[in-house]
Amino acid sequence: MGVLKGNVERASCSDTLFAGVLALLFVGALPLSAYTDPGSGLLIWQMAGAFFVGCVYQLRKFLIRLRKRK
Amino acid sequence: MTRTASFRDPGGSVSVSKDRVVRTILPAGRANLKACLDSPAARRFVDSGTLISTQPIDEITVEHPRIPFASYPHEWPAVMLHAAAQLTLDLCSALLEEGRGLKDATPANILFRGPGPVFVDVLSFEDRDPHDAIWLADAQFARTFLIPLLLHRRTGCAIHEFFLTRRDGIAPEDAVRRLPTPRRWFPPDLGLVTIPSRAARFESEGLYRPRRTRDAGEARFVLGHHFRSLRKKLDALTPRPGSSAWSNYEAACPSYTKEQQDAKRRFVEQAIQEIRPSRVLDVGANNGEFSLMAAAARASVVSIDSDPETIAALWRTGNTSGADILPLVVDFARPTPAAGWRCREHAGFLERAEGYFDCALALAVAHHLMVTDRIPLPEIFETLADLTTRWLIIEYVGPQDPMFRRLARGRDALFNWYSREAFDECAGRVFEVVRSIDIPSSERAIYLLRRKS
Repeated sequence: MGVLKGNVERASCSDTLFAGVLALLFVGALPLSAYTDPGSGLLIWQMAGAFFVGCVYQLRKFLIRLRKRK
Repeated sequence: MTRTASFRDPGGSVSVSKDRVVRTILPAGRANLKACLDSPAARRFVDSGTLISTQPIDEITVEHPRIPFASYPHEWPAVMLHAAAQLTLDLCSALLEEGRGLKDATPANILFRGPGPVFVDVLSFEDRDPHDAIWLADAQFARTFLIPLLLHRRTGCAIHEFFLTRRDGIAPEDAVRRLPTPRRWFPPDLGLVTIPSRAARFESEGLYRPRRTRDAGEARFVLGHHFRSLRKKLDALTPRPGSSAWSNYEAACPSYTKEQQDAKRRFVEQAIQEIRPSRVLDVGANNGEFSLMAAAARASVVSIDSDPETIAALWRTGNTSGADILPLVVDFARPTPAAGWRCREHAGFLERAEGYFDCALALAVAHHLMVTDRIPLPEIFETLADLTTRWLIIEYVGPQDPMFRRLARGRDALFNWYSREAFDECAGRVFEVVRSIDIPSSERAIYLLRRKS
């Protein structure tokens, strides 16, 4: 389950890309309290999804602003 | 006897006695209770009967109505787990609109009142950080609902069995080995199991910190999208009506002619009308014909059968018709044991059922217990006498009956003691015969028995 150094070294190109996306996701983090096990892979996958849906939201917001300016 | 039904939540615990369900609220849970009590969405769910109502007693205790018969995920067919998942998602989606959510998402939060799921954990409610775009209970929702349903869909496995030994469901790392190879590379398997099982390698401390968005609207947009995505997955995993050796048992192995079946029906119907039971246990319910009969007479019925497919079909029937039937996957010969921490979290089936019912139905089941499971006949009567406080409607199937002989598979010598007289003698130890009927042209009879005091 844990991230072992050896595992990271053996990671493929796609894994490296994945880790890069995760690094972006972790920016601006705060501690939390919850008693339910948040999982590991499922949490990462949810975060990745949230990142991309968040990008869609920001893009939509940008386009709406742009349309208003015109 | 009072049982502590919940102790993991730092917000509080629940004590269940015969008549009362009392929840003690700890300081950490006060905000959760307030989130539930203040929520207009929660009130709508209470009104619809899908969320337990809460009556504050004082500052640290609240009382809930008792759900008549507790059942656990290790007794539910897939279709009931699916209904529980739907209710959990319905709540999440409704609460999101008002800035609230659920802090956990497990079938343990749900009980069934008849065929209808009821969310019972009011301390699961929370006021969400408006900038938090991550639902921390998502993994638990996947482990305890989606992944078991996925495995059921792909492999046909009986998922209730998983929950007897796994409180928190099935992790993707475990599930991935069970999925067929090509299928695991396509949605929804890919996002539920394959990618998360690989992504688990990147676990680090930094992972367990929420990502706050700068814009609260973004967090809400992301979560709304996430819940819709979970709904799609759940819809895709709706259990299909299946078949088993037992689901078409009466049609495939007819034990009765129409005339005989009518005689049996008439006797049971008259007996039910006469004794007017309020709580009925139908042992070996199969297609639930007699459960429905008892429910139509306004009894609250618990129907048990070892076959998940027949129980799933009965749940669908009850859910559609609104009959007060709780169908559970329980093998009467190997009833659900006590489970959980020190075997005290979930009572075994017999403990819950003992003295609860005022009538038990054991129609065309005693010979299966005797022959297939090798349970001594006196033990069968004694166990049934423990479960019903008054009535038992039971069927006698003689040793020359074609079905009995089929089950015996040549082991006739094992049952050379067995006869109508032996059956009467075993019954007479704990019950008295009110009346009986011989099914015409067969070696079968139906009895209405009253429990000896």
